[in-house]
Parts: sequence; structure tokens; C-alpha cells
Amino acid sequence: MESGMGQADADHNCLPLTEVSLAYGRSLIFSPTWPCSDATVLFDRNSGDYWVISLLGARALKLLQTHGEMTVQEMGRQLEREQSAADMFAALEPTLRSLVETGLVQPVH
Amino acid sequence: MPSKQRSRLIDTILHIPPFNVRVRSPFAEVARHLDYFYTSYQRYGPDAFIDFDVQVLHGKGVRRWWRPQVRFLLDAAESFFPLPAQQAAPMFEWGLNWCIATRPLGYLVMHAGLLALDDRALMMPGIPGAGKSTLSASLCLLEGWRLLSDELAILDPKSGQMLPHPRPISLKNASIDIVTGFPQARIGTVYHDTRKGTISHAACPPDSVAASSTGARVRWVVFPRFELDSASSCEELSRAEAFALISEQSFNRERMGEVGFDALCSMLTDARCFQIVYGSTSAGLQLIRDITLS
Amino acid sequence: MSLAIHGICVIDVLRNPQAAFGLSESQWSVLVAQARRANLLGALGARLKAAGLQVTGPANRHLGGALQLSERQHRSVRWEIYQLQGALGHLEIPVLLLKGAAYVMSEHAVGRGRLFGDIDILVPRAALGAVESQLMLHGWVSAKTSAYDQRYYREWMHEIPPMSHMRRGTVLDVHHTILPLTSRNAPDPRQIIDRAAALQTAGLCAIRIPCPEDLVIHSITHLVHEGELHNGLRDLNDIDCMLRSFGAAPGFWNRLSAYAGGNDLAWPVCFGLHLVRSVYGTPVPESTLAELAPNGRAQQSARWLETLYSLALRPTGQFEQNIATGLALWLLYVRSHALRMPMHLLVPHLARKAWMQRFPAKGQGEK
Repeated sequence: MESGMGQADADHNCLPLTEVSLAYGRSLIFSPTWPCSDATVLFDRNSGDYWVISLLGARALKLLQTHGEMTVQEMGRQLEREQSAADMFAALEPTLRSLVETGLVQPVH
Repeated sequence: MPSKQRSRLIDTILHIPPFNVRVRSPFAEVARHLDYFYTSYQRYGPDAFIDFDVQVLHGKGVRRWWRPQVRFLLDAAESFFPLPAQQAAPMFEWGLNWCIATRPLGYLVMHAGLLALDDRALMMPGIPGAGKSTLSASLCLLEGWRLLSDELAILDPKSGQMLPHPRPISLKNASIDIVTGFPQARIGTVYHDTRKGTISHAACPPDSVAASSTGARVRWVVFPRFELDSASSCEELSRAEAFALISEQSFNRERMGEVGFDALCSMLTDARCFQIVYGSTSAGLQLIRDITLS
Repeated sequence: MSLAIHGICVIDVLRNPQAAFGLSESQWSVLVAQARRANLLGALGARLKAAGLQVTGPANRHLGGALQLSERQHRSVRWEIYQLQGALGHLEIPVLLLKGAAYVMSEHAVGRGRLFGDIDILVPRAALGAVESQLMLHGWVSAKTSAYDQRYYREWMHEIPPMSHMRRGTVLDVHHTILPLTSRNAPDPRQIIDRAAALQTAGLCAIRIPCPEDLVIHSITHLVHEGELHNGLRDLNDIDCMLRSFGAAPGFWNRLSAYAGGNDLAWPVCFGLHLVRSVYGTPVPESTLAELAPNGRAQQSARWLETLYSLALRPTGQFEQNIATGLALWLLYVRSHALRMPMHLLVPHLARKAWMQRFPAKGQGEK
């Protein structure tokens, strides 16, 4: 998986995520929301890669596409407004971390 | 075969839907292959537009005579290593597959069998060892399905339609004997010691060739897995999972970027996807009947 | 000189898209085949589209497919450049994009429909070692592994050997000057770096694009010195596109001759302008040619060379090169090596290259 980041940046994965944005160089499009599915497919026009990701991950990425940079708190509030789910807040941070590891999202310093 | 007779050069433009293919070759075997498998296909005169300019030629230099070879050229350029000359006809088929998979013409090309009932298509992505070709042959020769393609499923992103591409069905090893037993089957030469083992071809049914200007939309995607004598099973897959599996079998999805992605997603939106495990051809056909008749 | 085969020539249509109007199907076959062979199928599609010409009929799939591929390659190049930033950003050196990569990122019209191969970058010579190490850390490996080829590239030419990325398979050519160290002309890369502009894009702060004049000069210099001309018509098409769009800017032609002259490249650029004018009919001011003009004797050899180039660049209709084109190509190949390498090095090198072609090393897979 391409991260677009140097070795030094890997250390940042251990710090708490406060603010995030889409990783530089990504240009993302999404599959339609298919019924009876907890996964969706995402495509990066630039690298030509695709990923199968969770619906929560897709919603987070779509928010970042619209808003640019966002704090994790604000993102959580927006997601709740759109569609509340009991353990959504708990799932959000690990979801964002895995998106960072995949190279789709980057922390904002 | 008259061995002392000077080989006549074939030079013909065949319409193999949806393409025009010019074929030039000095090999009598290639001429015979075309006569046997492509006899009802339309032929055009020299004024036609040519999508693929193909040559199947003798080996170069000493390999013309000594351990003779055959070479495949597209637009006078060679992209493969030569094969033994006995494999001139399979070389034509494999080479043409490569041409269609490689040349960008706006279509998404996937390695899959494609059959249809009316305008509803069944796609069987070609994971190796799945037994796809035997199932395809069975469906069109025994169960009345229309064959759109045995190997190359062609999706037109603009219309969302699968475009028929009737070609001889390629058979390997055990499946040759199975299909030879079918009442309507017309089997060609058997070739031994090829890189795929023992191979042959079954002619595309004439009705399928005749209907090749009618497209179809994918309604079912079935990933077959053959395990000798195992029990039958069928599992529905999510479209996301099917996307990943089909992508592995796509020849040019990456090169098609956004257009390819959108086209594949749209195709999956209107289809249901299944994985089947079967232990015999008849069991496989029953599973497909269960899926497509419900 | 007429370059038409079967009554149609891709250059004519590129110069004047209306020439494609009313072509027969077999003429379209020839046109598409010529364009594809010259790596200009996408450019042909782009020019026809820009001229508002609707191509109906079977040729449309070929043109549309090439445009789609070009679009895909543009995006892929864009991604590679982000990766380069990631690998080289903290070295704090300028990383100049050259040729195709520069056209993509600068969004100049020359990039439309263009099809790409390698990515070319220019870095300061002093940083070459650090650049190579960083690239290797990020997954690029040297594509040429024989000791001889390594020496050829490093000691004599103007690049470290091409690098390819382990996972993505893309090829990167890292230059530290624009002509080999052994060349007759000795342009100073620092001038080009100093005149280059930064990209105004977030996340790409190390990346630079040469100014329009230097883009043209580099493309011409590369063409005039290159031995392998299979992309010659495409490169000439790039030059024509650039001159037509940049030429309108005030002061462009003065700067072009000043920069070329100031960097020991007056003769190649003069020759290149003559060539593109004769093949594509590009409007070039006489005053610019006069400023760059070589003395009388060089002019004669320039005319001979121009004929040779036109012959070598002629689009091949039936794909079998006739003897004249073949000879022209071979002469140009030898000449380009002569320009790049002293004679005593040249003959052993060419002999070795011929040997390698006949007996390639094992394990080289399909072509």
C-alpha cells in the first residue's frame, strides 16, 4: 500500500489523532451504496488503486472530501447528525487510524 | 494434406464481433481453423476499417525449417516468443485474446465466460481450475443458453451492455472428452504438449453467432469452484467482495481508470453474485439452474 | 517532400484536422495505424476533438480509447510525482520535472492526449547520491544491472541508470544535466533550475517546472541528440504544440534565443526550429532563426541533417521500413552516439550493444 509518507511520519501513528485531512495526491470516487452490505468499494483515480472499506470509513472520507480538514470531534458530530449509531464514536478513531495506515488520510499538524 | 504444394497466403478481413480482424498467414492449419470455426462469420473486402491487423507467420531464419516455429504479429510487431509450428491455430486464438485484452478501445475486458438467456447474462469469472469452460460449453450445447463469449467478457461502459464476442470454446485436458460427448458439439484438432497441456476447441453454436449483434445485461455473477465428487454448495456474495474477485480477472480495469470502475460498479448494482462449489458437471448445472430460475 | 502513404498522412491531419473530413474507412485504418505507431494516437484524438470534428465510425473507438488511456496515464504521472515528493521532499533540493511529467503538472495544452513512458526529473548534481539512496529506500531499484551498463550511464551519460519502482513498475530517469558529460555542447543545468518555477500545489513543495522557453529548448535538444527516434514524431508534435501556444506570449521568442545562446545550445535549437517548421509548418520568426543561425558550413550540414531527420521520422505506412528510412535511422543512431561519446569509446560500445541484442541475458521474459 502506498502511503506517500516518509519513514519519519510513521511515528505519528502512535500519537492521538486530533485533526485529519485526505492524504495529498488522492482523488477518490466511491461505488454506489449497495443494499444489505456493510462494505463498499473506493477508487483512487490517481494511483489506480481500489479498496474495500467499511461504510463508516466511506462516510468519513466523503466528509473530508467536502470539508478538507476536520477535527475528529467535528467529524463524529457530523456523522451522528447524518445517521446515529450506538458505538459509532468508538469505531471512528480506529477506522481513521486504519485509513491513515492505508495512506488515504493524513494527520494535520 | 498436399505437402509439396506451395502454401497459399490467407489474407482476409473477418468480422469477429464487435471487431474487424485482418488475418494474414501462410499456414494451411490456420486456413483450416478459420474455415472450420469462423465459416459463418461475415467477411469484408479490403476497403473495410481494420481494428486488428494480425499475422501468423513462419519462424525467422533457420526456425522456418529446423524445429519450425510460428510467430504472432499485431501491426507487424511481435510481442510474444514464438511457439512450435504445430500450434499455429491456437497461436492465432491466444494472440487474438491478447490483442483484445491489451488494445484500448473503451471497453472493459474481463477474463470470464459469458452466456445469456434472452438479454439476461450470466458471467463466470475465469479463476484457473474453476471448470468455467466445461460449464460454458454445457450451458450452450445442452441447456440452450446463448454463448456471448468463452474467455473475454466485454463490457461497454457507455451502454452498460455486454457485447457478444463469439469465439471457439477453448477446452483443456479432461474437458475435451466431456464436451466431445455432447450431441451438438463440433470439436476441432487436438493439440498436445502446449503450455496449457492438451487443448482443443469446440465451435460456438451457430445460433449464438447469428445472435451476436444483440447485447445482454449481467444479472448473475457466479464464481465456480470445481472439487471432484464434493457436495454442492452455493453462497451469495456481497457486491464489494465480487468487485474484488472480478478485478483480479480483469485485463484492463486499471488502464481504464474511473470509467472502468464506474462501469464495473454499475454492472454489479444490477446483478446478484454467488460462489458455487460442485463435484460434477451435472451438479454445477443444477446449481446454476437454481440460481437463474429463481 | 510528400510523406503521404495511401493518400493520407498523420502529420497532415495533425497540422490541419479538417483533412480528416471525408476519409474512407480504409484511409482511417491507415491514419489510426500511423498515429499509433508514432505514439500520437491520443494527440490525434485531442486535436480532432479541439477542432470540433466528430469522428463517427469504427475509428472512434481507437481515438477514444487512446484519449482514455492518456487521461489514465496523466493521473498515474500525477501520483508518481506525489510519491517523489514523499521520497525526496526532506532533502530540500529542487526536483525539476522534465518533458511529459512537466506537461502534465503544468497543465499546458501540449499534454492533451499525450501518451507517456518514463518520468524524467533533473536534480542538482551534488545531491545525486542522496537522491538515489532516498529513491531506493522508497522502493525504486536500478533497472540496468550489468556493470557495463551502470558504467555507461554513470560515467559517460547524463543520468544514473533508469530506476523502476518495485511495486508500481513505473520507470524514473534521474538526470543531473540535460546532455551527456561527454557531449560537444555543454549546457549548464543550474540556469534551468534557477529559471524554474515552483508548483502552487499543496504537498508538492520540492517540485519545480522549467519555464516555457526551457521546456522547448530541452525537448528540442533531446530530440536532436537522441539516437532512438521511435518517439521522434511525438516529440516534434510536443514542440509544435508548445511553440504555437507559448509563441503568443510577449517576449517569448527573444527569451528563447537568449536562453539557448546563453547555454551553449544555439545550434541544436536552431536546427530543431528548422525541422519543426519543415515538418509541421510551425510559424517561427525569421529573426529568431537569424539570432541562432550557425555559420555557413554548419548550415550545409544542418540541411543534410534535416533531410535525414525528415526521412527517419516519416510515418511508416505498411510498417516495413523501406531501405532509405532504415539507412537514415541507422546513420542518425550512429551520429547521436558520436555526439554523445568520443569515437574510441563509441565503436566498442555499439559492438557490445549489438551483441546484447542477439544474445540477451537469460530470464528476460516476454518482450
